[in-house]
Amino acid sequence: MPRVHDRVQLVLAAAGIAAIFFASFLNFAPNRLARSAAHGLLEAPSLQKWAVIGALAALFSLSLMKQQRTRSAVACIAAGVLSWGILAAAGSLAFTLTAAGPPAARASPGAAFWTLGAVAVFAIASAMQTAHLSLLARSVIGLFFCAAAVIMAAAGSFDQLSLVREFANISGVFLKELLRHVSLVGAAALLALLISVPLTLVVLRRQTLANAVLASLAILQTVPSIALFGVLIAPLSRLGEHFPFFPRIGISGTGAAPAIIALILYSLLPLVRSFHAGLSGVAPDVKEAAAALGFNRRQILLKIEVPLALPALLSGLRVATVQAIGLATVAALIGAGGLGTFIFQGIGQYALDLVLLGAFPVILLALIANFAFELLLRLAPESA
Amino acid sequence: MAESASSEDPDLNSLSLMLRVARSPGAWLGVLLISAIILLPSAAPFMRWLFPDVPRPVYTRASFFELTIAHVELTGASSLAAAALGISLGIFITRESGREFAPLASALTATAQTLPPVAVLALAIPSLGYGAAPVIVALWLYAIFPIFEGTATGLRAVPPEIREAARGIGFAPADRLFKIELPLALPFIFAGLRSAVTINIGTAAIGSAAGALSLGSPIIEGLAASNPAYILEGALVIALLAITIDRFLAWLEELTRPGRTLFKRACRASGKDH
Amino acid sequence: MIELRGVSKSFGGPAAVCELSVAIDKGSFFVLAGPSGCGKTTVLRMINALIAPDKGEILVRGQDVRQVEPESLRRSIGYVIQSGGLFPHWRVADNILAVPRLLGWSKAKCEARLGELVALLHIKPALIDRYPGQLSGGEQQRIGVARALAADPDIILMDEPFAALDPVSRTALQDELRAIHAQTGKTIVFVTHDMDEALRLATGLGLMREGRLLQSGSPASLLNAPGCDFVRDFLGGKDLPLRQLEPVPVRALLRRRWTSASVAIPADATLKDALRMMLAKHCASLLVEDENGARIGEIRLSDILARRDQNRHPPTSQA
Repeated sequence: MPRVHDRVQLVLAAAGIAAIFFASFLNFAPNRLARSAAHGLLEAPSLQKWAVIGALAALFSLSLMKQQRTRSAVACIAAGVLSWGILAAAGSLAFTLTAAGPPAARASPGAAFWTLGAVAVFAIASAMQTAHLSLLARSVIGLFFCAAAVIMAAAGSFDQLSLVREFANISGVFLKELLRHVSLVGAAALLALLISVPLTLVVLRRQTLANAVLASLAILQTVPSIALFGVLIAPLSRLGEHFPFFPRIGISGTGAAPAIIALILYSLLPLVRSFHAGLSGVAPDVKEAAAALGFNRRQILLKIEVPLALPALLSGLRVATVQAIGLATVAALIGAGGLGTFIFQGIGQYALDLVLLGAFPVILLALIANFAFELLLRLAPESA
Repeated sequence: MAESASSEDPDLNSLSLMLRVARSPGAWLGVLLISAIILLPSAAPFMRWLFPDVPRPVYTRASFFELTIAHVELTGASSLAAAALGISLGIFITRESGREFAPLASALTATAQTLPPVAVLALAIPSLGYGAAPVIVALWLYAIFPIFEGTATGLRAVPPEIREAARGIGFAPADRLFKIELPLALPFIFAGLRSAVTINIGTAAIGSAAGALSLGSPIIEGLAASNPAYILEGALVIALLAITIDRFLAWLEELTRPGRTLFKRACRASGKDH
Repeated sequence: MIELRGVSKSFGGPAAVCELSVAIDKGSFFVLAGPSGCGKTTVLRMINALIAPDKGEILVRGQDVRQVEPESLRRSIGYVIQSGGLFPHWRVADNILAVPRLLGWSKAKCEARLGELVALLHIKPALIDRYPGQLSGGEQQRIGVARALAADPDIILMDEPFAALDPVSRTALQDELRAIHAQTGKTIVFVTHDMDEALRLATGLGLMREGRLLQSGSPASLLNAPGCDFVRDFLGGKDLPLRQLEPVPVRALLRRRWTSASVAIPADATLKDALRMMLAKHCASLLVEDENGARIGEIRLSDILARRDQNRHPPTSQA
């Protein structure tokens, strides 16, 4: 029995192989409402099919390789081939099936496709972790994969997948809602920042007040988003009724106003908590040294404490932003627009591809935002 | 010589226990929640006064009691199932046999925590259809990660000397896990559970959009029919439910800290201040 | 009682323990001493099978430790570590009774044993219901020792148990441990890097360096005949002459006769104490008293010096 060096890749490869045989690779239905028929990977054209099988075999045999560097390198390459294989196979299989079927037919990726995709992603993640690659190296590899996928998409390989066809239907509106989503999050984050920084500075020296503020914000955080959105609608629409000034500048019961207000309220806790922690964490000897040099209280605060606490604030902003991206999705329910509109429209109309077209960009936005902040944090200077 | 602490301990005296419960805000919120559920059906006149233009001021499709129970079922079932898997995975990853999977698991958890819960719910619907089932699956999937992370963190936080001492004096590995390591990891596990449950309560409400019955149903119906009374009622009950359960879990979390509440009791019992 | 034969262990680099052989008699207080990193802790942990040796055998009570189920072996051996390792979520009483409960003792037996241990180790009864986090370092170590003694094992392993304590607690616990050993006759294997501690406690002493056992025997034999420079230096180097006086009680050089000396010293004090007192009080002889304070004789500086000469040129046979 040969010694197994990497059980993770072994398990992943086994899962991938099982997926090929036990799950559907591509689901094909004659129209939106009919049941879909399952089609396996083995029906795909030879090149792509064997690329996938070969990549899985490589992952499987990885565990037998002794050198860790070779293992990681082979894992990355195998995962790359696997990703290309499943994307190309899905695209061409969809092409073949729709060419032969009725015009309203839907071809969507099945469980096997998603499992194999997950296997590829996890294989690369595991390989990168065990090889202890730097953030830069990981970003380069990630970018390479994304670029390759974009090139394939631009070349039209996925055009017959129902997802892509649905996107073609809504592409005009998609950009508009995407920008709407981003602006909701951006406006809320900015305003929350403008509120939380002075708020933190005010409660900094008074511990009991700080505790009270943090406790109330924490309680606010536990209120479900849909409830907070809902609760804000009535007062705002009343406000709009009695003071026509507000609807004129865009603040009314439905739309962006209750959404932004709720998003600001939810963002306050991570921002205040992390900024407060950052300020409190400044070493007392640093402050003492500054005082000894002749800085007054205000100068110490503005020139020493705040700059040292900025990384903490940035970290809080990261949490708030990623959270807001998700919450803004729910805001579509109260008419604020954003990517959530596709999700809820899709649920209402039983247009499942529409749901995915809403969900995937939201996930991507969250991951990109998280990654961008992580990069920023690495570049920020070390705090005390 | 070794008295059992329960017999003469004044704190287990029922009166002082009641007083302590009465002082906690969580208890008051719970009372508020229950009264809301009971009183809302008869709140029609109040709602009519608040929203004069609304034809049907009180949600009657299902009683708020039914809605709350349905909501608690959704959240409870998914959270318990997630706890079962999350805690088992957390234990596995901290044992010798699972150590290899730890880096991948932590990378996965970090990514999963950035995903918006709504998106996970949205992904479940095309795969699993409409109704309560996809909502429970989505909630379950989302809840696994905080609980797993809490368990793994808690088990790793057990000081190595204590694990070493337990092994050295003759505890079998299973004994060590269940009698020493897990009890010490309990506060962290409860922290993860609390985070998971709080998020799930919110996401379950949105699940009403997919046809699951929950406290979000009045809100979503109210939004569709422009009925602010429905929205307010649903929002009120669900907010109270969320805060009450969060306070309750926070209390449980405090209880599980080694010797914390019991620390104070022991001090009072021995008459000394620490 | 405990025997190591040609034991070797390496953790991937240079050997932590190299061809070590030693026999520890039943009822002895064996101290394994040496500088940090010499492998003494590794040796200790091989006795209760926490670490498996690469080569050699370890026999406890005549049985190879590899043939015995590890948990039952460890339940029959007491184990005390430097940081105590008390379980923070259990009260002191539950910590002490950990092994008896694992062994399934009845509640009554447990309670009785707890009472015995509290008396034996002078534990303040108020501490029994407290949590380890509420105790001081010295109290925690006392509980750690109680926990090791709870199931009444005939062997106790102790890994630098008093190293982290302040000198006062350390001395107090050392004295109590010596008393317990004398009273119960258990076999104790004690690891330390502190030579003073080793000489105070040991009936058998083993000195290790870089994985090897340099010399072993009674403390007196090592003091009087150090096998090499390292041993001599570790035992005190220039202070070796003073050290050599430590194991010897005043009683050994007692002259049973009337004396005009006015300064008194107990018969159980060491020669080093006697020398110290002579220097302090500017006298060349001391009055010796027994434990009741009755005068039984005298001790003279000249006798102490004579003994020194004897040590410098020791007779060929030594214990």
